[in-house]
Amino acid sequence: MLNTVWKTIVAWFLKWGSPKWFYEQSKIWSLISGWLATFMISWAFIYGIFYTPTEFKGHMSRALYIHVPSASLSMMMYFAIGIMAVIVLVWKMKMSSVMLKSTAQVGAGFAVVMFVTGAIWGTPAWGQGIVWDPRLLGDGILVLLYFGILAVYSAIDSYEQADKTVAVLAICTVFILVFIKYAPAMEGLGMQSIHQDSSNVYSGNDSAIDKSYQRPLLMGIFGFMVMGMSLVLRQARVEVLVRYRTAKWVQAIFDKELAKGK
Amino acid sequence: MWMTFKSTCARELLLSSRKRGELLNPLVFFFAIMLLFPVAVSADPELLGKIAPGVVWIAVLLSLMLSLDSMFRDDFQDGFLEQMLISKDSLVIAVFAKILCHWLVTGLPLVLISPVIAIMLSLPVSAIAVMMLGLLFGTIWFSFVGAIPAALTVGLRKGGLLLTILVLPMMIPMLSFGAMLVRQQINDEVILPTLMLCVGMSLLSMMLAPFMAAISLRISLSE
Repeated sequence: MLNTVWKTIVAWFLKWGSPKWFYEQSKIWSLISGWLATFMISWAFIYGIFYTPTEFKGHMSRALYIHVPSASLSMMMYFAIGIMAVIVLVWKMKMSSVMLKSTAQVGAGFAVVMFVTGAIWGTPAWGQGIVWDPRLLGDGILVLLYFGILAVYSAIDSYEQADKTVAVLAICTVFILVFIKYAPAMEGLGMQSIHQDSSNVYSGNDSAIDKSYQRPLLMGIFGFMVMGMSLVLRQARVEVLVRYRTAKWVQAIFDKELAKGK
Repeated sequence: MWMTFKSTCARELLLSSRKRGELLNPLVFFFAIMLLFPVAVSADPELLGKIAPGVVWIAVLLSLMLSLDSMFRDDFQDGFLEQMLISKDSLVIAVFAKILCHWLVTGLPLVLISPVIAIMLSLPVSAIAVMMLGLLFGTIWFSFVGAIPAALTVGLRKGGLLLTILVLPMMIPMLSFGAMLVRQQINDEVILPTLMLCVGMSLLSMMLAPFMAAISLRISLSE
């Protein structure tokens, strides 16, 4: 019984390895996740703006609801890139290289958002936009790595070679995430850590922060995750069309769209 | 295996002994960067001494990065890399030998002339031995880790700037620990843990980077 269920799940999952199946099926997923993300993030922002008390740290502390979700998302996406890099090099699945590229593009955007909101938040909270501490250093390296990956894609014309190049780079550099994660605990490097260590914001009763902060923060984190999924799917759909533009099924789609235009 | 190592080393060293002018370039570049700091920042010995640990490390990093591009490029152009790939000898050993020789002719000279530069920047004399020790292991990390992006970009026509972008983030960990080592020595703090970290990192890079560089060479020559 359990075996059949497992086999069904695996068969369903493996179907997504085909670009054609992916293109046909992902549209609805992209739409659902996009709308879900819109509602979740608007709820988080509205709650954060109107219902969160501001006595403690002032209005600027609301940057929390963008900064923390985009920071965690950009790190998560780099981890996903590391996993997909192994798949690209070992199993050479077609869709993994498409997803590798689209995840890198979306992740670079979130990394920049994290950096900019951090600087805006830091201006009142630390008295200066950028104060170098180990975690800021690690995040700066992360932004550099993302843009290095994008530079590789724009420099190499062959898809296969660019994918493999990026995969090797991602495997060599994915360890930076460990550094960013534990950076607040590192008091060396000639810098004091200013970022606080991560607090437990997830479990209900022993949460480190008050419910009025916790609810919009959690909603923001999960909303950003859903938004990331939607953006990656959209980007991957475009990438599939570009890469397989000579395939028959893509030509059929183009013909249909052209006929619609007339 | 030992034969592969020995013959590749002999070939590399012979080739670089025939191109003595190119060997001098990183050293001249190192010296040139060093001159910029008194001109652009300040000629005040006290201030220069304070920033000297970081400046020396950054200058070494930049000069080595300049020479990384040439690590595989000449061999790519004259077809030697293809011969390495199709030969039945281990590619990893050959790559290891190539990187090691590249370090011997570019990294080691930089380490050896660094005391001169450090004195010019009025770094405290007591810190010079520790700085050279840190640079010895740091340049090993720079050469071995930098070999991976160098191998990845060897087939590209305009690989130079791309190589720089890819190499820099990989070098930052070593740079931060190396500069920290010199600062700790100046401030009379315990240096052993940091030194051990530098040694460990350079040994790790010697162990793992040849494998990744060999994979990278196969990728960039597959086209």
